[in-house]
Amino acid sequence: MRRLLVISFMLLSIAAVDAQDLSSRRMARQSSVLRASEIDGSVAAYLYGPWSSYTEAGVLLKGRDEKAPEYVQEGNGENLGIVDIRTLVRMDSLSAVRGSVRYSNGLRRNVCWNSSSDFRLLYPYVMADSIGGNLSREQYEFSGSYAARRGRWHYGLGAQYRALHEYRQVDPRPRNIVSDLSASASAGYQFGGSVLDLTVSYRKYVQSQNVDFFNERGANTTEFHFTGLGSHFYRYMGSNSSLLQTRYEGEGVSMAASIFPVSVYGFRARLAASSFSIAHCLTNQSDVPYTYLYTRTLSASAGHIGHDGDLSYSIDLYGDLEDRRGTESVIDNGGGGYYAELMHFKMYSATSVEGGLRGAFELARPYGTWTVAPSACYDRFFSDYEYPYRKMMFSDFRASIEAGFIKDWKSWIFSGSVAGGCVKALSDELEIPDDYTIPEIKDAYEALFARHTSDLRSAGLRLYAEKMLSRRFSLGLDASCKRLFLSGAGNSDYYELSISVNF
Amino acid sequence: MLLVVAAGCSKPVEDNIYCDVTLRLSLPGGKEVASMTVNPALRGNMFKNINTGINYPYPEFVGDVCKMTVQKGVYMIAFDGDVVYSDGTSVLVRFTGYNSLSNVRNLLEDEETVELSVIVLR
Repeated sequence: MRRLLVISFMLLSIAAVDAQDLSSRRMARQSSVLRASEIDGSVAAYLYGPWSSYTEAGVLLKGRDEKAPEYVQEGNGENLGIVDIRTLVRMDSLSAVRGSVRYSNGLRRNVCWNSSSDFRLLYPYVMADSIGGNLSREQYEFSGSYAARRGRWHYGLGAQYRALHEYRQVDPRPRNIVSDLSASASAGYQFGGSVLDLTVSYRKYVQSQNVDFFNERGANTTEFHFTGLGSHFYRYMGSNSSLLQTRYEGEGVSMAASIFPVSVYGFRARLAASSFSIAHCLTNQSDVPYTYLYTRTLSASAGHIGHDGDLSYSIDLYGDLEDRRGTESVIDNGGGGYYAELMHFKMYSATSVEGGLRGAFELARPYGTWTVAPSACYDRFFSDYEYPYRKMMFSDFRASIEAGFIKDWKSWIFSGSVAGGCVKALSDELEIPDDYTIPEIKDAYEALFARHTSDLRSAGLRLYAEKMLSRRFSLGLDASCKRLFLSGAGNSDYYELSISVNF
Repeated sequence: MLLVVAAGCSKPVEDNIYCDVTLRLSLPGGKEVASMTVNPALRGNMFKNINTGINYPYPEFVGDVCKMTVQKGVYMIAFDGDVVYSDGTSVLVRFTGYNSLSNVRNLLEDEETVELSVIVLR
């Protein structure tokens, strides 16, 4: 925590040197059209962005309460307190640095069928039990990058680090410690009015995990090593803590190519791919890896940001593909106390596809700016397990629209928006055999499947107010809430409340 | 970009997860075996993958041989079986060759043959 404060004050003091016209920048930060101009992943493209130097330091409260949780493995509720500081400092017209520090602390409620951290990164290979409970979590995130231009060329170097600690103090007691480091390099060239940017990244991931039982009268549940769609690694299930110490070790690379206009307005496109592999090792069994997960992603988007008189707009067509392949090891009998991996073969695969169209339109009037942001997409998820055969598939269509108004009045900025959306399930299929599936685990998968194949509607509200305390300093209050209406399964509520200082 | 996508495939992975196993009985005395059945209800009988926990039922032996397909892995194999000889007589036999974690049989090839040297109980 002390290091966090030291780094935070360093960032604040650097940024204060070059504060620029805050009012116009803060108005622009409310624009979803301009936000669409940000290039994901690149550690140099922000050189061309519309933002002058800025620092935002805020405290954020975030919560959710789900009657039918989207992922029971992440609990049915959450309360998080977050301190977030981010800054962009333009050293001169040709170079800039960017940095952020984020600390979050909170609780996930009723986490079930998952004792591992970062469930969405690691599934299906998580440890799990039927009891679950609340999980306390504490996370630190740091990122920094430097970027510069030399003639028509630009380059940038950056790194980010995340440390997460999750634990529970009643049985079963998981304690997970995550270290997640990535480093990126970007380079590009400006030709005509456009810029080509290439970014490569390397990621190293480690999670140490153990689950303990302290109850002297015996364990109240069995801990499983899940292997996908209700199957589990039989040999090491139980409550013996020597079987419940594991380590995830992963690494991966990613690459992205982006083309975007030097000015905000114009055509832009991005193609990105990543490959990430994680071995899950049994710490007390000679560190033998018993599962491997290979995740590959491919994403592409193309869009245009334009303006016509008082109307500015962004339109973006995108597609994302994720392919997961999981392999399981054949581990020998551990003769002589040494466990060896004899071979491994593919048992699990999952493919998810999402493609859609999203846009933002802003109409500037003398009394304020009207905004509308519609989006529509198609989602499909398919996963199967080789033997005994299991399958889960579902697809849906999603649409949403957000309409709002931004008002600049004296030393205040106000914005407000309302949003509505719907998800229409299109097709689904679930096949989990009774043989070799524990009934409680099958029930959990059926509940998960029912949640993801239900039609739902959503409504949301966001209010933002910012007071310019001086030409260089403002105080902002941001509040948003969202409710999902699930047919026959109850509602889910999400909220965020933040107070920030901006300079 | 393609290199990044292909990088996820670098680890060699066994394509065929199944092993065709031939079980061959070996009885003392050299009499011709007509068939053998293993009672699936007897708890000590097992053809069990020690990693996945899947316990396969024994098919009926025709002559002194039976074939089955199992997932490649490490197995504990033990059973009591009723052997019927070609002359119509029958005996109860026992196989305990791979009956514990310290004494297992690896079935890792596409095809494997397991010799089952049984003892006659009665």
